[in-house]
Amino acid sequence: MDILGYQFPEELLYDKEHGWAKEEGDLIIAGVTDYFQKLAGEIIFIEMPLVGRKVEKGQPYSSIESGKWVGRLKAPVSGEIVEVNSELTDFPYLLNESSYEEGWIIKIKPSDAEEIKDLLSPGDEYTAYIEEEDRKIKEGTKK
Amino acid sequence: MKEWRLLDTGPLPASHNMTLQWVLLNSRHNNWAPNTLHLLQFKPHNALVGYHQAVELEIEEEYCKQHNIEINRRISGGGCIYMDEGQLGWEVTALKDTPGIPQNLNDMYKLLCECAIAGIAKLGVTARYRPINDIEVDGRKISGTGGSEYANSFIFHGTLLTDFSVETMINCLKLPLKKLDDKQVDTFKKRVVSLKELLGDLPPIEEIKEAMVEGFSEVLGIKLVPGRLTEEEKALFEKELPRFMSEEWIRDTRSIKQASSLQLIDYKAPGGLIRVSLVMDRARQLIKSVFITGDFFAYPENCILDLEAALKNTSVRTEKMEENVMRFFAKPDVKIPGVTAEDMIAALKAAVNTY
Repeated sequence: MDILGYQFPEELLYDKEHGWAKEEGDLIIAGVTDYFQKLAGEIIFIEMPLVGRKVEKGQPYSSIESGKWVGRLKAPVSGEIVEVNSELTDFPYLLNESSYEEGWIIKIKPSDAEEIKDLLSPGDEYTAYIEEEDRKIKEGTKK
Repeated sequence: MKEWRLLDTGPLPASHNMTLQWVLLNSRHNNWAPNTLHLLQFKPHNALVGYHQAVELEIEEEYCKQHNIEINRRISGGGCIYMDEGQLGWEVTALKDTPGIPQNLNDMYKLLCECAIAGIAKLGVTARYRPINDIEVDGRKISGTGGSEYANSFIFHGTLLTDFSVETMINCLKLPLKKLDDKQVDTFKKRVVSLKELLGDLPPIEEIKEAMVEGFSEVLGIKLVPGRLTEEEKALFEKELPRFMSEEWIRDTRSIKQASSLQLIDYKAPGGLIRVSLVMDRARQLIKSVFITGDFFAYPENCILDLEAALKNTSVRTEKMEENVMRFFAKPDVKIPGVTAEDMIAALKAAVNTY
């Protein structure tokens, strides 16, 4: 699905922190959206969290760096990190070039299945959210 | 007119300033204080690595120990810096959705750098913004910046080189200079400039602060009201200070850091020798910094600095490096007789390939 020129695959779920999530068996694969990576610019570093770490929905689990900016990545659901994409340590640019596939970041074993229901499918509500985010950005830029 | 707080905390050790940055970022998120412009100074002098850097790879620790240079780590990104007592730091902590402040990072950098540029102009110096986030005077860097975020607040900060010891900087940081001769080191020194060098006499620090305050007020359309730390901020400061003083924070051993090494190569082009001194992050194949000299002539004189800036932090695995060089040579005002974009790309690739 295309929203304002940003790509959002139909089969994925999304949170309001510019992350995506995908169910894989009883795990959740998480990454960042096309919108996030375009806004961040060239990502030169990602701090990979350790396997076994507990994460909380909406809370930071890792940091990235682009243009001297340290940004945070937030978990789409609460749970435990069971796998990380260690390729990203050496190839952080995969976050830019393949944010939905090769650039996946972590796999989480969710502690509360209910939280998955809060994630959004691409549709009217998510489109409205992205449009609102984009409007805020453009408003700030006009000044 | 929107009121912001003006906080001037005077000279403090690095650990205190690092703690304050975290406190202000949190405080804004918790709504303990309004948006703030913080003016900061350092005492004693210190060397600071970027959030994702490793001290042992960036800092000459033995030299620092001998010269009482403190070492700490910032919460913001970017490279290692040397902060002496003659520099003025400025930082903005604000809510991300503050009207008038772009959320797009590049636009935000530009706007906040424009504030500092307006301040510098009050002192009679014409500076300009160099993307992504530096401020320069005739191609020479006078202020570097960086930032970070926490929940719905952000911090963006920079330093203004008022007076500066380039010598100490070169000695305390692991810069790509170790294999260069004196003449080339002199060229490197010309890449930074201080207010003192530009103005001859340095205005009193209070006057410089006043100019910066005016610059931020005018560009952002805000009223800066002098204030102090709130009780909540003071309490959080006391709680967090030990963390920012700890080896655990400074050396952060939790993750693999950016490892890098230096390469120097000479490349013969028809117009002269191109000497490339390159620091590359080997694992990530990323140019960390590059210093290009040689006996070719470049016009305008400092244009090579723009190329160096454009190449910083770009991947050598992708087409980025070539693109940046081509874009630089395509600029109508850039003239380097006898050196083509292809020569420059070949020189850079030769340096990269030695890794």
